[in-house]
Parts: sequence; structure tokens; C-alpha cells
Amino acid sequence: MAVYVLKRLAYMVFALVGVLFVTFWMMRLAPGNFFSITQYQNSMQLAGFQQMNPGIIQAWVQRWGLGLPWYEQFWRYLRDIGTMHLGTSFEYPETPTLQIIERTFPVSLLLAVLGVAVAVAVSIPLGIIAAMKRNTWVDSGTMFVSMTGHAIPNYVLAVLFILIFSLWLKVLPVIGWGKPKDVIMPVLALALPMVGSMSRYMRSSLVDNLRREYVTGVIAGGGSSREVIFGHALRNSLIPLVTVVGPTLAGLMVGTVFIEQIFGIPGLGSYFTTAAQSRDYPMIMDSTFFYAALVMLMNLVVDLAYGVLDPRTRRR
Amino acid sequence: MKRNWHGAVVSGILVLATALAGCGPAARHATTTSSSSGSAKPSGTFSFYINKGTVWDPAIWNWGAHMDQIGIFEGLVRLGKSMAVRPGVAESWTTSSNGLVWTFQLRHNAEFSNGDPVTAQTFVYSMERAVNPATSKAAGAGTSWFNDVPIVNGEQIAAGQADPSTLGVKATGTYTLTITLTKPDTQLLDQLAIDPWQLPVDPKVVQGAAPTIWTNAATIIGNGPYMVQSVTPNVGMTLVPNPHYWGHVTLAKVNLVFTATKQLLAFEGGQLDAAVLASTDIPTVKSSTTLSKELHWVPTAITYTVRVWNSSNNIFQNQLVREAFAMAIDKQTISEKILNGTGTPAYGQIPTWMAPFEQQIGYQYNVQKAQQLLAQAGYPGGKGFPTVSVLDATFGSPDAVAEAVIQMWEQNLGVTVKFDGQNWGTYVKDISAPNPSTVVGYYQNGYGVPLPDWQSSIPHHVVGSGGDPTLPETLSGSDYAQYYAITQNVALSTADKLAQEKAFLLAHANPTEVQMLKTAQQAWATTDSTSAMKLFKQFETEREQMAYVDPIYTVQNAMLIRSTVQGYHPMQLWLSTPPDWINDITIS
Repeated sequence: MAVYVLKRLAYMVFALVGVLFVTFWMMRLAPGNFFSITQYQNSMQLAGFQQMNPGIIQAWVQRWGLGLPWYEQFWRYLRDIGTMHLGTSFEYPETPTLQIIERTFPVSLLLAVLGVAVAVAVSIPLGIIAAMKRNTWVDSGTMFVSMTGHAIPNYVLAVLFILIFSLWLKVLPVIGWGKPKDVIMPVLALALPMVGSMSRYMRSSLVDNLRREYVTGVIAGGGSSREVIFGHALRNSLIPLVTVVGPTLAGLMVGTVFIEQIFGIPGLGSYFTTAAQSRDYPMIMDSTFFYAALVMLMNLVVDLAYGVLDPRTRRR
Repeated sequence: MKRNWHGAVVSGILVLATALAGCGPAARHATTTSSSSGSAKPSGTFSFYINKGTVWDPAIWNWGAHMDQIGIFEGLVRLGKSMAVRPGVAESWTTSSNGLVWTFQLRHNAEFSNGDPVTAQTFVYSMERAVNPATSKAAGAGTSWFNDVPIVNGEQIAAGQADPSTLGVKATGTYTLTITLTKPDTQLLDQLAIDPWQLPVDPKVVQGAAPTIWTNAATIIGNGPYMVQSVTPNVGMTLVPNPHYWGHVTLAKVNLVFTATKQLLAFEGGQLDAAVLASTDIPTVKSSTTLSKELHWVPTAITYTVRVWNSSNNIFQNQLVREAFAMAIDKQTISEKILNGTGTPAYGQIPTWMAPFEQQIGYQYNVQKAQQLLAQAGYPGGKGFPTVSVLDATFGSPDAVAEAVIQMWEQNLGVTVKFDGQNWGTYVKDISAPNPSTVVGYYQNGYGVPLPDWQSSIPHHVVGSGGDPTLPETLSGSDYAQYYAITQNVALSTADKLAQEKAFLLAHANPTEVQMLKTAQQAWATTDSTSAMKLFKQFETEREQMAYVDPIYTVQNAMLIRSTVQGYHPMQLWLSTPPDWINDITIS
């Protein structure tokens, strides 16, 4: 197991360098630069404008090493990543990007984890009910409700929740972050669309297991429905769900941007998208590194979880 | 420039404009003491939307600096109702007979939020610091500084050619400050009130400190009525009364919200007391008896335009063609039907609420005439006219206004128009890179008037900032390619490059435009206000008649302001129209 993990970690290093190299080049190929974009956008919004004399631009180019040959810039970046001495972003020149990630990632993580947790908590019982009552109106009804949730995008649900909980019932705030109640609507908006696919996975997997011979054996031995499902079939049925949950969680950590913007939540998603739009190279590179490493780690964890849930995969 | 700015009713605007804009320079430069006196305790919480700030150093160009100027700091003067200049730390001021020396008498009881005094020397330190390029180099950002504020040595210091201590700002007493100009400038007070570079910073806090002090709530030390309690990057900030402020502080708490989306819902949910609506919100608001009473129309100084896009095909260098395209746009319909009142028809780059004469000089909607002009140019019914492109910083489908303009040109002129939506980076690059002959058309753009008086805005934009930005658009295709090569020549020093660019434009740009520039320069140099006004008007008339820029609409914000809020005077020069002085606001 230790050798397997080490091998996977070594692959990760190569994959990360590859991801960073591609990102580095895509960024350079994208037209426009941070100063020209922000200066242009802002000049159209108000009376004042910023003066960029050549000395300032020169200092800026020097500070971020933008005048160096590309291979030197890339090497410097890899070296900084290796020593975890990341610099500052263009937009927040006083704040190290690592500090921004440290401050904002937990927020996105919290949203994603709670969203997935709620989705899993709802999907498992729904899937079990639908599987137990398969091909009845309960099955159709459960799946209809969950698929409807799946069909509605999370930002539409967000507005719907705001209307219900903030404007009609007046129990939750429209925007804000810091109090426990600020989490409720964003998490529900993230969770409900996931329930559709997760409950479907759960149902199909459970139905499949209930048809297996070992289940027939349990039933023949006098096992009750409860014993069949909770004692035998459920654990095996969770494997496909785990396959979905890992990548969903990783994807959600970068995919909470709409929800963050609607509810005014200070997560990493909104920083990442703003950085991409404004060509904030350091922020893009560092967030990409962070997310890529995270997704790779998540995949590793999922693969290891398979081993825990299904000992056969450990032997392979 | 893809925003939800949208439509309006002219009569309503004019009434509001009169109410909001004041009656002219004389009324706008009050020298009486601010009304913020009294002994009542600060009360109420006020929450409003404003663009996101990332650093709160007044010397650095950032939305944070603009937040500084509306209540976290207080300069010599500030803006008040109708964007009038009000006394700030300066209680009174006088001008020398030749208009070159301004003397400000400062109040003796102005203090920073840490109790340190604000003196004339504080202003000298702060202004020298703001103009000094080393400040922005250290911060990795641009300076906030108007090029055309004619303070002695200001331009030279900003360019790194003179020592900051030579700036024409001196403390002639503990509480007496003099500003010496190179030429008389009747708009000096407006410029001081509008731009944050003049705000005083505490030398004891700032000297030798790392730039990080300007992002930390505890170390942003201002002298305004409010101080920063907390900052949540990307989300907002909270202000509370500054116990050391010399006057009365009205509000107990102020929340500045950086989240632009769903402002209507946030207003209804009680999280915002002032919200800027999207055009799509207007029918909902109008149908609500409660909300419609809290709806206010605020004309801004920002105008949505389309400009001729450079091309090696000179078809748009033909005056008849440009006029035809200008006259084929129905601005009234765009403002009323598409924008639901969040825009008013624009006939010049100065909004009609600032300069009503613009309505007479700009091109009116006249399809028949437009078709005649195009036929005269050799393209009857649009036959033989190349496909027209409209470049917009909208990735994907056109914004509603661009879509309407495209449709009107196609229907009214019989030409084929294609939308070219790009992301911001590509857009910024494409508007200046030379186009082949196959690309002809317009690019969508915006223009913001920098000062409340239109006659001051023209020299500011055209003369003070280094030249009329329209000139390159008047170059023929081959000339534009040569001009672009100069702008991209890294071998040239900045001074040489600017000199070469200017010389090339004056030699090759449309001669009428070059002559207009001379008119503007003449007006800028004229000290007699009546003569200057006449020249400015002449310039503006000629500029609009050239039709290189087609103004479509001026943004008119539909704002919901809670009925319990009094004293919200919008800063109309900024698109988001935040209050121009938070401390004028009270909650009943």
C-alpha cells in the first residue's frame, strides 16, 4: 500500500508540472494584460484614472519577472512552488497569493463539503426507498422529484430560495457571510442539483445488488429486508456513489463561483474567475496549482477508499 | 463594457438633472462651514453597494481610494449635494489676483482616528507622497493623479524628473496651506474634491511602513467621519464613527457591499438600503406600490458609444457613410423600450443633462436622410457595402443595446452587420491593433465625463490628458499601420514615443479634427470664461458633427433608496452612483 501511494504521489508531481506548463502557456497566449484590462474597464466607470508612468510599469515588470525569457519565468515559478514561496497577485499586490488561498479556500471547501454531505444524506435514503419500491409510484415519484432538482441550475435555485426564505418568510439573509444561517441557502442550492444524479446512482446500484446471488442467499437463509439492505447490499451499493462523490466534491470546490457571487461569499472560486478574466498571472498559476493538486489528491483518496469498501481492489 | 445600463424618459431626466446637478460653478463652490455640526449621537445603519476595493491608500488608484474620499478621509474640500464643493478640513480659501496662488485656512481641530492632528504640513507630506512615483512603484499599482491639475512641478515629479519637495504645495503656517499653479484653474476645487490624491495621511503611521497597512482595517488611519472597523476582501467593509472627527457623525454603522448581483433582492431583504437596479428589474419595481415610492432616477456622466474601428479599408473615413450610420440609430427607442428608462438618448459625449445644447448638435434619427447619404456615398440600399463588424467586450451573444443597433443598421441601411463579441483581453488588444481591409465597422465603448462642468471636462480629456483619443481613428488604413508601429516601438524612450505619436497624428489625422484640437487648446489657454465657453462649445459641436463616435445613451441609474434614508446625494460621475459624502446621510 505504501509503495502504491508513493508511486501515485510521484505521478502527481509529473502531472502537476504538466498542468502548470500548459496553464503558463495558455495564459501567455491569451491576449491583453492585467493593467490594460483593469485600466480600461475602470476608466469607463468613473471620472478618475490611474497614471502609469514608464517607471511604474518597469518596476511592475521587474517585480514579477515578466521581462525574463519564458523558460526562466517558468523555472522561477516551479522553484517558488517547490519552496512554497509564492508571491503576490497583481490585483492584491500587498497580499501573498498563498494567504488569499488560505483565507478563501476553507470557505469554498466548507460550502462544497456541506453541499455534498447534504446531497449524500438525502440521496442515500431516496435511493434506498426507490430501490425497495422499484417500479411503483413511490419509485417514480422519488426519482421525479430528485431529477427535477438535478435539472434546475444551482443559481436558479439560489434565487428561488432567496424569494422563499428571505423575502416571503424573512428568516434568512439575502447576502452575507459569517453566521451559521448564512450557510443554509448556499448549501441547499449546491446540494439539491446533486441529489438527482446521486440518488439515481444509489438506486441503480442497490437494485443491481439486490439481484445478486449473495442477496438471494441471505433471503433464503431467512434474512429480513432490513438485514438484506443494511447488513449486506448497502455497503456494496455505496461503491458507485463514492466514485461520484470524490470528483463531484473536487469539482464543486471550483464550481461554487455563481453561488459565492450571488450570496456575497468570500470563497476562492470568485477570486479564481476574476483572476482569469483580468489576466492576473500569479493568482491564476497559484490557484491552478492548488486546485490541480487538490483534484489529484481527491482522486487518490477515492482510490484508497475503494480499497476500504471493497478489499478485492486492494489485491489488484 | 457590458453592463445593465438602460433606458429612460427625457423629461424626467431633465427635471432630476436640474435637481441633482445644481446650477453652475458659482453655486458649486460654497465656502460656508459644513452642515455636519450638531450634538446628536450617531444612529442607524446604512448599507449600500459600491465597486470592490482592494487597497485603501489614497495615493493609489483603486476603488478603495474612492471609498476613502467619501467618508473615511476628508480632504481640503469634498463634494456635497448636487456635487457642489463643500469645505472639508479647509474652512476657507482665497485666490491671488492672478489666479495662481490658492491659500487654504485649515480648521484647528481636525484629527486622524488615532488622535494625531491634521495640519498644513500633513497635506504637504501627503500630496508630495501621492505625486511621487516611488509610492506607486512600492505598491505595484498606478497613482491616482490628474495630469492636468496645473500645480507647480506636479507633472515633472510624477514623471520622475523633479524632486517631490519641489511640488507647489507649501505650509505657510501650521494651519495655512498654499497651492501654487502654473496657470489659473477655476476648476481646481472640483479636481481636489473629486480625486483622492489630495487626502491627508498620517505621516507617523505611513512613513516607513509597508504598503500592507493599506489593506488592514486596523492600520487604515483616516481623518474622515468614519473609520474602518472591518474589511472582508471581495465581500465588503464596515465603517463606524471616528471618535476624533471634528464635526458631527450621523450614522452609527455603514456597510459597504461589494456584491453587485441581486441588488433588488438584497434591498427587499433588508441587506441594502440603496441599490442600483438592472433594467430587467424595472417592471417589477414599478408594479410594486411600496418599491415604486423608493425608486429614484439618477443620471450619470457615463455614455455608451460606438466608435469607428480602424481598418485598412477607408470606407468609414467617408463623412457621408459615418453620418448615415449615425442617423440610422433610434436612440429614443433604445432608451425607452430596451433599457426601461435606465438610459437616456445621448447626442454627444457630454450628457444632455450636463449640457442641454448637445441635443441640438448631435445627429437625430432620420432613416430617409441616412439612406440618402449612403446612396450618395455610392451604396444605395447598402448594395456593395462590406459586412460591418461591431466589436464588443461581450463574450458570446450581443448585449441588448448592441443587438438593437445592429438590427437598426441592417433594417434601415440594408447593410449586413455581424457581432464580434470578445473577452476583455482580446477586446483591449483588438481595438488598437491594425485591421485588414476585410474588417470594417465600429467598436463599443464608453465615455465618462470627469468633472461636473462640461466645459472643464473637454480640456481635461482632450488637452490635459495628452491629446484627443479620437485622432487615431481618423487615420487612413496605411497611416494607422504606421502610427501603430510607433506606439509599439519598444526601442523608443517614452518621451520620444509620445513626441513621435503626436507629430504623426498632427501630420496625418483628419485635418478638421486637428483643427478642432487647436480650438480646444485655445480654449484651455483662454482665461476669459465667456470666450473659453464659446470655444469649447465650438469644439464640441464640430466633434459631434464628425461622427467618428456615435453616442447611443447616457446611463441613468434606477436606484432604490429606502424611504427612511435622507441626504443620499449620488456621485453621478461614477457608474455605481454611491453617495458623494456618507456623512450627509441620516436615517429617520
